[in-house]
Amino acid sequence: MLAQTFRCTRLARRTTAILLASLALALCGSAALAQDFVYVVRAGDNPWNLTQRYLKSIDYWPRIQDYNQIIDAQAIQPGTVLRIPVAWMRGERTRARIVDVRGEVEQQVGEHVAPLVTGMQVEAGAVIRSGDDSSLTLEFPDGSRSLVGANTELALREIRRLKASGAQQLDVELRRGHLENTVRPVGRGGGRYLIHTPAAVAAVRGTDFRATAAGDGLRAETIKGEVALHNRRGTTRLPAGTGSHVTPGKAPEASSRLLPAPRLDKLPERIDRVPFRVPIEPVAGAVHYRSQIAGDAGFTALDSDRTATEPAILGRDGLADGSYRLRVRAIDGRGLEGLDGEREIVIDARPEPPFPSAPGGFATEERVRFEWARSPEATGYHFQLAADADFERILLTRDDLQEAQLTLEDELPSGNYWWRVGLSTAAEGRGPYSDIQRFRRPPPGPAAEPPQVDGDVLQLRWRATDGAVRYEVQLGRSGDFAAPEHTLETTTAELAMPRPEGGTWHVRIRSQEAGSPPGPWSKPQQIEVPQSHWRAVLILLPLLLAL
Amino acid sequence: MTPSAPRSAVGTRGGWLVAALTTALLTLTDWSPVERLDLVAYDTIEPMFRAEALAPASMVVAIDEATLSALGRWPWNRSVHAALIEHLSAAGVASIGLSILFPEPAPGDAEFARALADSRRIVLPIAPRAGGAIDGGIAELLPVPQLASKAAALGHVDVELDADGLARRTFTRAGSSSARWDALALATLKIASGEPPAAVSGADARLDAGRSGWLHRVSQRTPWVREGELLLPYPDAGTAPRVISYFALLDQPERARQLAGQTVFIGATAGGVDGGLATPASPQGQRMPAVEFHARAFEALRSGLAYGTASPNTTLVLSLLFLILPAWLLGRMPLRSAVATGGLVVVPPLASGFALNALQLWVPPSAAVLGFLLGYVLWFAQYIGRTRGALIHARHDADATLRSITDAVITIDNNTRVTMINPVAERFTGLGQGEAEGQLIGDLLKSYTDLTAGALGTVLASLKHRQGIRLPDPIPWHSPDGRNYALRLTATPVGTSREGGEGAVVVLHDVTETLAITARLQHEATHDLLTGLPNRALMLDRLHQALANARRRGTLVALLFVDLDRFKRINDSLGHYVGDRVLQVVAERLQASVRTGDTVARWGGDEFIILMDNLHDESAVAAVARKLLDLLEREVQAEGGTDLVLSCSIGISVGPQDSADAGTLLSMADKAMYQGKIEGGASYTFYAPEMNTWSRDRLSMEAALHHGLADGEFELFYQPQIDITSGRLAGLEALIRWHRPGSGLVRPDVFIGAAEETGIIRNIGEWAIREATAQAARWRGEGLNPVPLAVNVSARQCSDMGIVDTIRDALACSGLDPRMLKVELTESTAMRDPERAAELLHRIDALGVGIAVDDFGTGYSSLSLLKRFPISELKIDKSFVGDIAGDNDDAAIVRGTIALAHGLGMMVVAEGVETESQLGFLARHGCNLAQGYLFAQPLPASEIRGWLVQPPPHAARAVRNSHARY
Repeated sequence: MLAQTFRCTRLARRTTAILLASLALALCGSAALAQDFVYVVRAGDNPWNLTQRYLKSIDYWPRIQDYNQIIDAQAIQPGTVLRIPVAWMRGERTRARIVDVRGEVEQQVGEHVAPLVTGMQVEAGAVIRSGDDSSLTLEFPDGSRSLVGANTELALREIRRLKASGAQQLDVELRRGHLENTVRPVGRGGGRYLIHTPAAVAAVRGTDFRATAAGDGLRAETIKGEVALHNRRGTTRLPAGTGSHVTPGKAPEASSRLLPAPRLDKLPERIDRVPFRVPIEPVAGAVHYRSQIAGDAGFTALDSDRTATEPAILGRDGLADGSYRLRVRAIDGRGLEGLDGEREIVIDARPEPPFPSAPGGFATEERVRFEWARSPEATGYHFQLAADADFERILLTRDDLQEAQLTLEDELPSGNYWWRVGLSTAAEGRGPYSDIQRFRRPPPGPAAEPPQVDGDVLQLRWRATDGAVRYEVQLGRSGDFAAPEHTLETTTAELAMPRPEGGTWHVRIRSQEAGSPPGPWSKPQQIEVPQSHWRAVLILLPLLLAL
Repeated sequence: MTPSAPRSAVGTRGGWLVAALTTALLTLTDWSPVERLDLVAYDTIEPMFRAEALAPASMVVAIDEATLSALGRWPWNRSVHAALIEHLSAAGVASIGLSILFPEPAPGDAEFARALADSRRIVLPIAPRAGGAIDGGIAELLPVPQLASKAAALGHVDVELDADGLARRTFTRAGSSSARWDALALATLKIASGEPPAAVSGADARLDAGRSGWLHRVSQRTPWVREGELLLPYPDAGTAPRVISYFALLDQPERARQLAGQTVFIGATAGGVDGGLATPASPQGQRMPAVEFHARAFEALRSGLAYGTASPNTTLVLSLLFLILPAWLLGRMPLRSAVATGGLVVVPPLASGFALNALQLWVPPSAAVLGFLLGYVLWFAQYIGRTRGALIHARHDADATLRSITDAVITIDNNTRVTMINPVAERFTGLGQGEAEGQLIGDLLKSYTDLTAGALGTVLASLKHRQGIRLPDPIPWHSPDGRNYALRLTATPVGTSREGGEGAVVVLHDVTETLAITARLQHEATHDLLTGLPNRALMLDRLHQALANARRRGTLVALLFVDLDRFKRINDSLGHYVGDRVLQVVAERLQASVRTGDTVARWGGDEFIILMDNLHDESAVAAVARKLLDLLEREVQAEGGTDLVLSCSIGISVGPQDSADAGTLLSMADKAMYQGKIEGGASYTFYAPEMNTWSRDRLSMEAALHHGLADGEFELFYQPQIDITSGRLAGLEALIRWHRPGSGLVRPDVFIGAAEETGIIRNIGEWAIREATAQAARWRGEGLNPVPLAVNVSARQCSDMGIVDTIRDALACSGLDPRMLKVELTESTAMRDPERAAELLHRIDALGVGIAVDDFGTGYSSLSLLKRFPISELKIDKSFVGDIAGDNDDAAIVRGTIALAHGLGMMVVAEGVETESQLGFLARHGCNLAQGYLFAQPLPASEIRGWLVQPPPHAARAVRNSHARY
């Protein structure tokens, strides 16, 4: 926009029509006014010494006269207010310092590309690019800081200190990405901070302020101070606690209040898993939540910067164990990020727990066997089994396991259970527990009462199991039921079957609950069935027929 | 089988009671058949059990034919007898029995009487004479008193004729009214041994009939009384007495000396004089002369071999005692031993024999034998009757059992023909008893099961080895009513192997329901009931297996851990019912997105795992993951008209690259999923970071290809093919180029892989064919000389016949002569599925379009296949051409390929010809065409125009030079 303003001025000169020039100035005025250095003429001031002190060269003096509509330059009265566009002012180039860096960050100067590291100085003309999960903080000579977020491209156009006031003039182009600034109050010394984006220009005056450039335009939020959003279609002022959105080709939208800071006091002290997502209290009107995690309170570089689509804080994979600062903001429907909620968190996620593989859902084997993924580094595993999901009624705690499995010695009564497992390593000590695994233990099969043989029918009865919708009954010649001769099922607690061949049989029963696989078998029982002779009779049949 | 005990006892004893009564009756009544039986028994038994006889001490002096002829006709003057007796007396014989009756006086009596008197050891015979007594009874025919008084004793010659008319016995004493007279043989014996005869005087030797213990009343009149029955041994030839002729003694008195001490019986043997007696031995020879009978009786008495006969009462008692034995035994024996009891029939004859031997007592055995036989037969009849009743009962039982049991029963004979089927079997086969009977079991089984071989094998094995066999696995059975069963087959042979068997019983036990239950339970134990997907346990099992397979085959296994985004919210706000419905829909969609053979499992809650096995690279995984995300994003119609939009996060790990351990692989997929979820969900994330990059690049490449095709970013370049002999332009190969925005000109090897995977290669390929034909048509329209144009087709395009339609359509649209078009496909494309390729190529050939095989020599062509394809051109790969000048192997391959192609009538094109020496080599070996940088690189259509007008001179020059060089 600066270029546009300049072009306007040149056009005015070429036509030498003051009227037209005035018109042009009027068109560009509001932006120019905001960026002008104001000087109150004192006694003894004249164009030369003023030029000497403030302007780039004496060539600018006629423009000052035009600009301030001074007819007679020789007769400038003390007390006259002179507005001097900062662009015409005398200044010196300064550099920005890289305070902190995370991830992959590079600068391009001309054709030359080089990675940026902490402590480096960058000059105007450089283009800074950050990759995924990368960030850096630039510190300008006046102490202002800008945090450059991930996947951001930022061109430094101008870093200048005005000789007149020592005020700093920053002019950057945010081509894409995210910028968070803490700018020193600039007062009236001609200091300014302009952020150009394709959609609009943000003029910042001593403020905490964020700008995000994306395909759909520019979003700006002012935390402290004030920001003016300006493009050819209009200007919007953003007082503290407001934000707005500018779509390319449209006037900046009206400002709206930023969402309040999310409450973080209910977050756990320690987070035992990365990446993580921990729910927080929702903020009314929020659609997303952005969590930033940094190692230092100044948030000079972000170790994690994630946006959740639900009320939750997120931490990216690879966050090392340690103490961090966390700040979280709610994001409203326009994409404007709200005020920061901030607190400290501790990440203690290592060594990572093993992956629990069984049981899940149901456990029907006689002695339940727990299995998890084996870790080569593990020096031991710790295991917990509980009767509730909150692990308040813990049934079993084992801290001495060497194998990646545990088989219970005793048969588990029927019911619902929860279990989790963690591991220890020599390097990182004891790690957190895994996600909680739930399983159900169906009731064991009932024991049959003594059978009744009535003619050709064998009758079995047993005590009904609560919740059972079906029973399965097996009769086998051998007690191991390797190949049971009869497998029958019934929905009631009794069974009538054609009488089997005589001799000793083993019977076992299991019950099945709705929606569950069959439960464990009952203990096998032996029953005796009296002999029947029809087979012997059959063998005599031919002889009999002969007679 | 086991009738009640009382019935048995009555039954058994009843039979034996009848037998005992019969025996008594037979014993006590003289029923001639039984008597005859006894006589036969005697004749048989006696010789066997006869005791040792003494050395004979008697001789017969026979009045034989010779004597009669010498002494003249009978009767003689009795002085002849006197003379003889004198001789004999003189010789010192012990006694003399005369078997000649002297009832009336005759000349010579005086001399004879004197001789009798002198001798004092002569016994004269007395015979009974019927009607001789005063009352008409039986009188004694005595010798004339003159002789009788002189005889040492008188002896009766009464011989009893048995029921069979044979003489076997005589009596110790007999006489009219009283048994006064010793038998002739006995009297003679007494004389010989010096005993006084029983009755010397005929007058006072009368015995009182009342004193006789055993009166044999012959007539009511004066009876002939007998006493002391003497049963004589069977008259076998060996015991016949020695005989000397009467005349010989008279004629040569000195011969009488040999008779000293002996007893002599004198009697007639000549037929005319003595009729003789019929004896048991008679059937073999002559009737026995009476004198011989007496002589035998003498010897029998002397040796103690004349037997008494047991009284009927004794016989009866003994017989009954005998019958008790079988009656007692048979009730207490198993059947086999009971049958053997029949052997007891020999006991009575044996006992009789022993009695004869030891006691000289004859006990007639026939009644006992007959009684036993009767009892035995009755018992057996009873037994059989009872058994039959039991069997009939058993049959009814069996029949009822067979009808009521739930098993199908089929009985077969040894020839495997069906003899019977029960109602259940009728139901299974749809056949009636009559229809099934006589069918071969194999034919029967064949109609209902596909496992006939196994089933029949079992039946045959059972028949052969005579043992029951159960087929371990149930056989599937298609019953005619359309239902399918699973039947467990058992074959049990009938009878024992010793008897050869009587066929077998085939039992088919219906286990359909059991199997169904087992299968369902197995399914329930391994599957999630809500979604029907495999559960955690089954998934883990398959994962282990897949990893093992992957290690062996060198393939990959991918695990996709799928977690629904925000599922908890659905469950919490819409309830579990909707949540469950959503899970079911998700399960269906997941299954729809995977390849057949991949496993979709429910891990728990809203977590699913997809196991992709047997992968060759990861690209298929990303494709499935994308498809899955797409499918899941479609709205789910929930109850109550709410449409839900779902998304999921997918974490992917690939084994064995990421890990070969199932648990680790799972945890990696889980971790990747979790990370994706935290990054915002609705995405897939590989555990391996480089895979994410690769996948993103591939994705953008695919999108760019789609855009490229739509935006016309593809262009065909053409590379000239030069006739090696003439140097003229002989063809063009169309080669695709892609003007990718921002990347410049992209060569096919960069993008064809991605295009193949996404399938867009079909569209690109189709575009290439249309563009090439259209270009050729344009050139023709400009009046340029047409040359054949070759277009490459990819393997994917050859996977169906669609390309044929494309070619036909493109030719029709452009009006191009089909001979001006060639398709090129690589050797590996052709060989991938030779059958399909052959069909495709034949169809293309039928359009008149030529076919070239590209990159020949790089794959493994089967020569026989090559012959079957309608190939018009082989293209030698540039890797061979590059080195032909130096490398002998490559040169040999090229030479061979050229020879082979020409042999099969194909043209040969060499690719990648860059130097004149290569061209020279090719020219020398008769290669037809060459293309390569020596002539031109692939050129845009606009530059080819010039070639069509007039090939640049350097081409012709190169050909000339190569010819010149060699």
